[in-house]
Amino acid sequence: MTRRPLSRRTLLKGLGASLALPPLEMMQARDVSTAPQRICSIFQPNGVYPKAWDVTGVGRDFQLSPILSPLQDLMGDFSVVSGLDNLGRGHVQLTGSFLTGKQITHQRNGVSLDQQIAAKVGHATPLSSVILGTEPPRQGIASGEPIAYANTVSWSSETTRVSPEINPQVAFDRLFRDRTGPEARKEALRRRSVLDLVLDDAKSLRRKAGSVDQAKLDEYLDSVREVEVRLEKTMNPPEPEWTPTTTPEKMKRPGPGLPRDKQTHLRLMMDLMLLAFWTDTTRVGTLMTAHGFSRQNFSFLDGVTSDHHGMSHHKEKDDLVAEYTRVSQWYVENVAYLLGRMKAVKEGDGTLLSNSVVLYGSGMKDGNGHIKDDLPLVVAGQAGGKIRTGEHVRCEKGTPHSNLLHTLGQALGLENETFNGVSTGVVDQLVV
Amino acid sequence: MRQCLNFICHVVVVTVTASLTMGLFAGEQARIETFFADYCYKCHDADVQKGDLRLDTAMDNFDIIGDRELWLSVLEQIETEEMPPKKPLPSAVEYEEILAVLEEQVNDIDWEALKHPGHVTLPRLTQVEYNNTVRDLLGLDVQTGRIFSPDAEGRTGFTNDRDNLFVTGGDLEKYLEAAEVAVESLHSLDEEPGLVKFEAEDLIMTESRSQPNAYPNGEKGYTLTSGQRTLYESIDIPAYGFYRFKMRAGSSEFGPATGLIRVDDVIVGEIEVVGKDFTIETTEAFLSPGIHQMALNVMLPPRAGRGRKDENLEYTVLPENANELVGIASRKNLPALNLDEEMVPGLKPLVSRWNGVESSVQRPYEWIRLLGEQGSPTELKKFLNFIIEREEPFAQLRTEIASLLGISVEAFDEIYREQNPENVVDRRTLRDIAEKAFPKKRGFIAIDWIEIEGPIMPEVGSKPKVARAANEALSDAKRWRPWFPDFLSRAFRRPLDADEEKPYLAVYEAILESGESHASAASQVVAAVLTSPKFLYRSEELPAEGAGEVISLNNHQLASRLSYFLWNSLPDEALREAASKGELETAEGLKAQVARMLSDERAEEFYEMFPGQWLGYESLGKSVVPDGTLYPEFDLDLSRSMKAETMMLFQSVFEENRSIVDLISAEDAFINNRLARHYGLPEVGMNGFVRVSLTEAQRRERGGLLGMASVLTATSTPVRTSPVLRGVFVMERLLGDEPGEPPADAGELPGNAGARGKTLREELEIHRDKADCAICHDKIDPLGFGLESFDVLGRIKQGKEMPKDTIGTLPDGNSFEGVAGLRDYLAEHRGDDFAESLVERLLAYALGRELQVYDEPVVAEILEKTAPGGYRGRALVEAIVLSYPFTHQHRSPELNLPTIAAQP
Repeated sequence: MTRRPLSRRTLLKGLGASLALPPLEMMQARDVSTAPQRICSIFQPNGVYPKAWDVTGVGRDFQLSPILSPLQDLMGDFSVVSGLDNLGRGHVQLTGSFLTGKQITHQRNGVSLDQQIAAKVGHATPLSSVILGTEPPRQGIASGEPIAYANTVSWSSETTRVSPEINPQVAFDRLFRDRTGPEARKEALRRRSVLDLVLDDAKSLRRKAGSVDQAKLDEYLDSVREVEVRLEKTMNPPEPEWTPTTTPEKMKRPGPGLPRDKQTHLRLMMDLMLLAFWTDTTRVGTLMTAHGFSRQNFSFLDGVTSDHHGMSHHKEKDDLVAEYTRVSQWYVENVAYLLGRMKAVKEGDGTLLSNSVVLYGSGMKDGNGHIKDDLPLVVAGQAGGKIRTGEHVRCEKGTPHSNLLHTLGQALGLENETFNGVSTGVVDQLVV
Repeated sequence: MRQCLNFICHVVVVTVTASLTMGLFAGEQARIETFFADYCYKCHDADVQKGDLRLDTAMDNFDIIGDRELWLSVLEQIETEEMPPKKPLPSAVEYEEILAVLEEQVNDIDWEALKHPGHVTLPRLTQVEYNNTVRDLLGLDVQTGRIFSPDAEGRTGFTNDRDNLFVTGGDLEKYLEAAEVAVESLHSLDEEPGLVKFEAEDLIMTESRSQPNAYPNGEKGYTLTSGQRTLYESIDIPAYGFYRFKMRAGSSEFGPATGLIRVDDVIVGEIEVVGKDFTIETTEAFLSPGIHQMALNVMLPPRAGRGRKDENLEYTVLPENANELVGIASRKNLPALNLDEEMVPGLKPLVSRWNGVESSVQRPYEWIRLLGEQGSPTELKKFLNFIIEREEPFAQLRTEIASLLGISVEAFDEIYREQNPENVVDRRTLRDIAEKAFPKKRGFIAIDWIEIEGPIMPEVGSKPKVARAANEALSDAKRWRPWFPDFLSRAFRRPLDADEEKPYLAVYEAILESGESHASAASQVVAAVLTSPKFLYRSEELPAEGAGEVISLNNHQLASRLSYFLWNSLPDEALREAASKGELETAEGLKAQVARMLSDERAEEFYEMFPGQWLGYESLGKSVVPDGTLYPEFDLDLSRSMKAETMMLFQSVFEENRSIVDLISAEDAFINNRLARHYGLPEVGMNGFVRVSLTEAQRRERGGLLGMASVLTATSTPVRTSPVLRGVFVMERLLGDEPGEPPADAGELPGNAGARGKTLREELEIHRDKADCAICHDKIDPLGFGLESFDVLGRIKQGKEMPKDTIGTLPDGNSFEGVAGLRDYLAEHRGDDFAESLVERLLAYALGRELQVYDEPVVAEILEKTAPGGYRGRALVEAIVLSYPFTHQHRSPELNLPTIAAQP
């Protein structure tokens, strides 16, 4: 056996996942009520066939529909929410509003739920949020807005959309790279010497400057100080507030390139999301199961021959409706996979699932006609005791879906009066 | 009377020193008081304060310098009799008296005593300046400053307003990162370039129904037949640097095609292919290391306007008796050429042939009319081809008839147009319908493979010698020693102080000692230089105290001011040398550099930025965008062409030392094919821009700024034209005449104004009804009406959209019709005001600060010097560069202006 020197990459591969974790053997199991809340928003494009999605019965006593049947084993851990309306028209706007409650107009949106929460809690984790996907943006214009904008539901400002990472290897590296290890410290030391030099230059300039110019140099000096603070954190990292109570399993670093198999790709992203929450690398995750205007070819499923968008415009033709339903069901199968894995992670008295809230749904109901009323939505997980699950929650006709966003935001600690100025209340049945 | 309304007076420190004016004598004061009491205090006193103006307090604290703007405005309003606005009105004698007193006061300033060069706040480099400086310093156009927040326009209206350039919180981290990336890019030149090749059919396609195509000779690939079809894959880039994308592709049909290469959703390159034969084309891009998403698309042709729908289009179904209808209509709508055939022998048969062609041509036009915008593109194309075929004889006939009549061909066209005005417009409209129905002249790109190679030394924007020297210094300790001090001096844009390089070299040694390599130590020191305030700010360090309040800038400081003014970058070697030799202390030396620099291609920075920001069209395509549904033809290509057109006229005016009034009334224009099609002008014979001489007919609308799409699109709302926006543009930007703020309750016309029964003009009549509105709008609206013949994109309006009258009548009695009339009015009557406005803006741009009251005589002097020559472009720049504020700096930013009390 020939020995090959470890390249830097290999080093990361072997040690990366564990380097991101503190030495667990020395940690005491902390009080579980301090386990942090997580939120995971999962978006499915192109809507669902209403008759195959809608559940029967209201309240605790309800029966699953064909599309939702894969969630059978998780009964009690999720609620189905109906009656909420979206706003806008066409794929771009109906996708863009999923987490903002506002309609993209002239390429401006509102700030999305996940980013609002990230702004609040993100400082406590290495990454404030993680957005993953499986399809890149497509070009062109639909209803006056760029189709590329339908590649995400996450907006960090009115004009900044956050595009998902679709390459599993890149996502892995970004999530689990060495932040406080020797490489990072080396980089910090390097910057330190640069800062010392520029600080001297600034001080010498300032001595000779008049008052207005001194004010400008003070701005510069303040900015230097900010960098110094950050470097200090790298050299002497603060104690983390909370550490996982179980050892996350080691995940093999994904290979390069994009998986050709859709199921592999989606499951990889879900595994990454799970591990990110488990290791407390982030508490806010968003997953685009596909592009908001996806033309994904689903012929790998039995009995399916078309692309997702094509079958969503089924015109009530039996064969297309059947394909459309099968595809939606397949998406739910994968969601069930993720929820199941989250439930299996113990966190003290609860599980990762009970400490999280997972929002799953689409920006439109029936893709045939881009129906925006009565969105298909599922809320899973109890957010550490703040959310009630196990029911079919039927909202009053005409309730904006931003009410749901408001409810979830409040459960995770947002203190706004309304959500983006558009919600009209909360969804009471979800609130404990 | 000059209107100097753009000077802002900040009286920060008030000390009574030598008086700068004679002051206001009792008798004069009484005369002004009387006039004000009779005619002004009614509205402009403590109780009413109309327009927020209080003349009573202005009189009490009479300060002709501190309140200069106010008093100039008072003088102007009375002189033009705008004020008082209604009875009782002063008599002729009273007007004369008050004007005499006010004029004397306003002009009675001892400018010599007030002489002050101003103080430019420590100038931080703008984002553009940073990128260019790094490019020239390191020899690679890495543009690492792209991560900085973009600079906003300051109070001067320009992004280089130094008071508006801050460094906030997270900025230093960005400067660090930008510097580190630049240095790493230099290191990448060490690496052997890697190569990766992708066959198109192996890439992932977003449209899963789309299949790879087979090409002749057994090759395979993908033909991208719609804008949405995207080929993508992950690419693994090893290091910061430039990478060459090589693509083998051809065009599928119709004509040239453009492939777009995106990395991480940002367009990094465009590949143009001309014909069906596959060729290999390349483009270069700067990439960062790591795994990225590469995506390939086709650039679609400009889309037809008026909200074309998607593929689910239903085409027009023609009626059964279509043929008959067409026949009837052809006869009815037939234009005719009516010439007195007896007039000239030989004319009769020509005219008869002409009219014969007319009737064969009218039929396909009528078919197009019947099909309409929803007609099948194939049918429309067929009839368009008939038209083109059948109109051929016209070309010859025109020439023959014109020559027979002894007139020019243009004159003949005039006659024909005058005889058949509706038909001419009608035919143009119908042609447009047919031409827009199918993608004309742009094809779909067929891609065989794409190859990426790098890091490479780029061919574009780089200085290989400079880059290699830097790269060698960073890799080889022996080269480092001689290279570094020179680099430091160039980076700081001045000769070094004694031992100035020592602290840097000390850090270098320390890093080496800690065990790091030379490359690592050198990189860190260079990154430090690029992050130092001595690099990021242009410090015009003033000599120690005791050298007086006003400092004459030295050669190197002047060189820096010059190069950032005209090139947005640091001085080049020739300029540095001139500075070292002391040449910039003389007027000749400065003038010589100005002439050289204006003709250098680096001056394009000035020709793009100054007009773009002064005239407000820089944001076209970014934050200012016409509505995508109504105007889908506004794409990147058109936006770039529009801006380039204006840029080139400015370049011509300054480089060739033309009169700046040519900016208004130029008889030539710079056009490319895209603009030619846009404007309805004949296409130019080649790709790229060509300078054309406009014919008289074309000059009816085009020629000069007023007819340029850049300006006209930037002065429209996204959905309709706005005479108010255009009027304000002419008034404020071209004439330097600021209209006031509209009152808080002034409404705004909705998007469908002008389309709901009344014309825009009629809707704006409301401005006349309300006196409060009329004050400003009587000046603004007429200027805008003159430009109402252009639509949102600057095209000439067609058919019903064209307003019935584009006559504007100003309060001073002048009136004009259409853009040609407005243009002539501005050139003939307002040339001086335009020159003044431009000089004021240009001085503010050159200095990077707002103009103050003591700059007034500077502007006046510049205008006086250049007026005899007709305000020539280069002469103006020279005058600015030689001016007092450009060549001097005051130590303190405070004004130290005395106030003048009214004397008893």
